[in-house]
Amino acid sequence: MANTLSIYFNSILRSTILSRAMIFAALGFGLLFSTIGAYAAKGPLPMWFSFTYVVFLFTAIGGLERQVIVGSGAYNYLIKYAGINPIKLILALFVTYVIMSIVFAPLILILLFIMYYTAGNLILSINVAILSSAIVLSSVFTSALGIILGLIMIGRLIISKIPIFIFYIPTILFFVSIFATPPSASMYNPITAMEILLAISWEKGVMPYPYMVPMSSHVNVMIPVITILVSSAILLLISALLLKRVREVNIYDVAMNF
Amino acid sequence: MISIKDLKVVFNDRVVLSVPNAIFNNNSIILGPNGSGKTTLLKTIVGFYKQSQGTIEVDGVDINRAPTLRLLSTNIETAYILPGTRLEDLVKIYCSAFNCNIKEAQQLLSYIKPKAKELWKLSTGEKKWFTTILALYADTKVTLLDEPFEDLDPGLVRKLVEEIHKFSRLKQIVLTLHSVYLLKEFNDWDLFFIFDGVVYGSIKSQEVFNMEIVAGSDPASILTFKFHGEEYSLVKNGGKGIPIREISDIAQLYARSKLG
Repeated sequence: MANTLSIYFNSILRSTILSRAMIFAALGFGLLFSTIGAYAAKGPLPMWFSFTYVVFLFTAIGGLERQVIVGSGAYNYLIKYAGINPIKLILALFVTYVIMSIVFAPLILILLFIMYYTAGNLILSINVAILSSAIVLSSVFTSALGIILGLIMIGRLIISKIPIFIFYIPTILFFVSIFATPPSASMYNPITAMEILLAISWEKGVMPYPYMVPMSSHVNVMIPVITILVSSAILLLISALLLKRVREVNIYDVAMNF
Repeated sequence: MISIKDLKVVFNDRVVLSVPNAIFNNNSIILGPNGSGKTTLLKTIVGFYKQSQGTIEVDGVDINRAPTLRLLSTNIETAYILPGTRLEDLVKIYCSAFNCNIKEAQQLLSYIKPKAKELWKLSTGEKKWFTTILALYADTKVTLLDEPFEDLDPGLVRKLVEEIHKFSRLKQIVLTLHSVYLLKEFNDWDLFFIFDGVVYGSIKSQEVFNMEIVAGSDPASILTFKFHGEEYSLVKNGGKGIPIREISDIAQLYARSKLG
């Protein structure tokens, strides 16, 4: 069984990282938002990096969510008749997306650097440790979120239009969080906490710029870190409980048949 | 052996499948027109659709309660859609998972030369060939094949018939068909009919070529079934109805639903 899972993991890791859709999304978001940030909005680079990267992550996990739903029939078959461990199967998907998210971060960063440099706005003051941690934590949280959204959707909605909508659910969740979270709670909402952590990693814990996520004037780095870690752990635990849903009716299957 | 009791599958308050009692003891064919419930039946046996009531046992194992490791395999496409996985990896994954002989399976898969690298990009016939070979080569007690010959070239149909016969000596195979002419390839198999989500049978496949379908309930009927709300009987040839040997595709019955 370990061999089956390692073949599957290698296959999806290769195809996800080399996926034209992922590369296009990273390049597209990187170029679009860095141009807006550097030339139009003239916002600080940290703010635009955190926004660009998080939007990219939430778009990417739309694909992960869809992958869980579309693949649920095959997962069901492999778990039930080939004895594949469901937790390890889902972990293979989770780790794939964590690695992919980390791999694409430098590409987006480079695009932003280039654009800000050409616009003459490049001011660097990077805390590498916080930035790296922020990228890893954001990747872990969004991947866990993509898995759980996919598992929740399996077998629940059988409206034929829903499959088109699935891809956009994480992005909608992201924008709702940004606009609906009050400043006093923004460090406790993992989605806004991710944005905050990514942004402050550039300024050693201080955020002197006006920022699109409502937040208090001083940020204790540990609060968003703990918020993201605890939320990711909870999401993964609930995902383990939701794994039985893999055995339920595949909504794509139903949508295609009725 | 597959044993089904009081099975009902309901979607959107509509009963799409109803099997009061059916036992598939041997290699079996389920013959029915398009939309009669063949695929729904197989998907329910595999577990892709949840039944509203009833039990399904495969080799004495309740598929919804007991461990089902290596119990059955199927060629239903849903079982092979692993997004982001290339064809060559898919073969390795399924051969490793179901303990099949990868070299022999790859040799048969090479009968098709797909240009695409992912399953969803293959043509319908290529997908059918690919999934059917993987299902046949899986080391399981039962293999369920949904319309295995559909959209295949005649040469592939011939080869697949040979392969199915080869594996039918090693494990039980249940396949669905809507083409009557292919029945002659499986003379000694049990034949079940399915109309409007109800399973009827069984008779031996070879017997069907000496039978005809007549409207109404005939006292000499070997089997009666309901089709589009009307009752029909399967009787021995007597010149009263439509001889089955003259029907190439069971779906033609839709065009002749008033048989008289």
